[in-house]
Amino acid sequence: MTLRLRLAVLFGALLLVLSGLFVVSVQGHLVREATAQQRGGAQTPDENLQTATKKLTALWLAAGIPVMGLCFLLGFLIASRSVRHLRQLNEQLAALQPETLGNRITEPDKDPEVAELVRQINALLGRVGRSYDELSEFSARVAHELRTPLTLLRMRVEESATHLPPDFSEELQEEIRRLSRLVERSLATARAQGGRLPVNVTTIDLSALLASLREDYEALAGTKDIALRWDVPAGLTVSADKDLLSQIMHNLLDNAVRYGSGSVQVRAAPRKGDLVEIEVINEMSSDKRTAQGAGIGLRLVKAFVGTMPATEFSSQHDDARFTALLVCPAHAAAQAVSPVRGGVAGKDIWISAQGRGTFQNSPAVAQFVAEKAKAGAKSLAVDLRDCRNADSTFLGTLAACGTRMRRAGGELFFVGADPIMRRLLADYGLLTIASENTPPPDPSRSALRDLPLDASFEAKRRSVLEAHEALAALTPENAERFRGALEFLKHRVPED
Amino acid sequence: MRVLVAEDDAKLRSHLTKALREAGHAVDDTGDGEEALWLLGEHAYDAAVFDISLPGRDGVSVTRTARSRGCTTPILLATARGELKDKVGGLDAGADDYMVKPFSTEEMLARLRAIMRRQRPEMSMVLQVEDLELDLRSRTARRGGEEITLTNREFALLEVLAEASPRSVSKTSLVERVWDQHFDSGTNVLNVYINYLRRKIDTAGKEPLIHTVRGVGYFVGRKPQ
Repeated sequence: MTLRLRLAVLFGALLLVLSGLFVVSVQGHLVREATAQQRGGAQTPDENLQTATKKLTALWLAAGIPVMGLCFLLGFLIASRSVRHLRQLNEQLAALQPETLGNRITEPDKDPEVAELVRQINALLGRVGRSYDELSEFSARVAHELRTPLTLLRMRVEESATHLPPDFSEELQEEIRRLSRLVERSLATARAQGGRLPVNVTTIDLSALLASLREDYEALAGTKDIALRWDVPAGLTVSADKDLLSQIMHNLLDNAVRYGSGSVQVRAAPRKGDLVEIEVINEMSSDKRTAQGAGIGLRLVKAFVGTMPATEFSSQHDDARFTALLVCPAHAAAQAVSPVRGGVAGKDIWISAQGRGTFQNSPAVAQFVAEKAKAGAKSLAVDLRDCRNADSTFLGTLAACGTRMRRAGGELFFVGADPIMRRLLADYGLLTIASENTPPPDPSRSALRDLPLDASFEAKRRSVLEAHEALAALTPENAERFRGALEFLKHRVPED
Repeated sequence: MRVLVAEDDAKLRSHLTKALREAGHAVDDTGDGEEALWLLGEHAYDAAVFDISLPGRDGVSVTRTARSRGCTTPILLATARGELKDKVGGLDAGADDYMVKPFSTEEMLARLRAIMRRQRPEMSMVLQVEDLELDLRSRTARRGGEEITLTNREFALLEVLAEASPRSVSKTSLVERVWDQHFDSGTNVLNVYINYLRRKIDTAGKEPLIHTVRGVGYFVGRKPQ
């Protein structure tokens, strides 16, 4: 029985018992009155009193069940309202992943009990996050440290190869190669999961990328009597990191040929919602059914996919075949201007970025925050739950707004950043100006509205300059990184 | 050629030195960054191989300081750090190439040859093994004056073998140098490509040039009697 149900039953039963006690006490009172009248000389108890007592009992008995139902319903509503905060906390906790342990839970309300619980959970998340980072860092360090002994081992085996039995020598070399690959993959997985993998999303000719892999995998499939069927139309473009996408495809194809039998099918096609899907399907032999999907290759794929915006991976298998499905944003989708919402709740300004934060939606953010700060708002909370990527102008705009709020004694909060966004915030130094306090409670949906995205070309250019100036002022690395860009922006002629 | 090796791991340093000597180079070695910088200033080396993690002064700093002093010796950085920013940092400091551990002897020798070739344009851009000629500029191959049509992959494979000739090249090294680093099953398809090459190079009536050395790898050249 759920907590809500238990509370409702308890509430209903309590009300029923109280009403029962009330009826019993009224009856008792009436009986005592009748007895007193008898002692005072009356020959028989007042008949009216007796009738009233009977009626009261009958009424209570007749109304008992509906009253109980009503009490139960009332109890259920009150209980639901009371545990609503717990449900919201639960949803936030359920959304946490190893990569988002840096995020913090927001307070759904100002209830002191819930606030204390949120503080404790956030403190716990901080400790868990630190442990996870240390573990990930340790894995990376171990993999890193293995490289020098592996080089030595490899050189020694190559040097002694002519003195060893040929089969043994080849086996040793192959095992060292496998070990080296394992180390590389472990290191890459640890980096990806720890958000330390550099990701450079560009437009990629997916058809060309897949075609460049085809020759090698056809040769490999040929060595295993596997038919490789290729169904990839020309001209498919996606937004992704080229190196990571290439590694993902290598892993999926290698996995399919390694564990497959009979045939492997590679298919790519546009999909609704400005997406492109890539499917790698292989038939499975019975002895390899349990092995496929458990290897480090697919784990690496998942870790890499987690670092790329709006990219998703899933796999499924039945008795006969294994299907890996990768979905990437089509190039056109990545270029569309994403909406951005803004609102004020109490003294807090809320900005909710959807999709991609870019130079195109940055002026709206800057203007909205400036207006509301002037009107007396004290803190800026940026909701990044639906934001998948951001360019330097958007990040710089947040830096400029956040810096101004801090100077005025306010705070800057980032809420719900996924690993990509968190890494971007860290890389550009924005976490150095973010408050470590618990973010303000989420505003109601109606408090937010779409901000107008109609800034002029001049306003956009000014916004780009101001954003990069704010970033350059944040850290020496940023100053170095944007020195050239700032020079260019400052001296750009208006007609440009 | 005279090569300077700076590597703090004594065992690895000894193997690097030995491999370079066996390849016909004169080698000086050290395990300390300050000493490496001093040696680089004192002697005229044809190339240098530095580990990044050196006591005293790290390999990147040695490279940067040497360049600021006008040293033009080709420098190859070898390191366990394989992240892009490390590579960019090393190359920006003035290194000519960057090699991530674990690497093979053949890879190190090939990279040294490549950076020395870039440094000295007079070095031939044509590789010749017996009557087989590879023109690295036009990416064409000829045997006995007859042009052979090769795919990019086949040419790359033959180039690595011809460059190392008469030494053998291990399967692992071949795969690492010819295929995409993420192609995990390279050793399985290597035989397929060696067969393609044999069909095109060792045609009927011609002396076979591509040989398998069991347990070691492959080599291109005349088979020792």
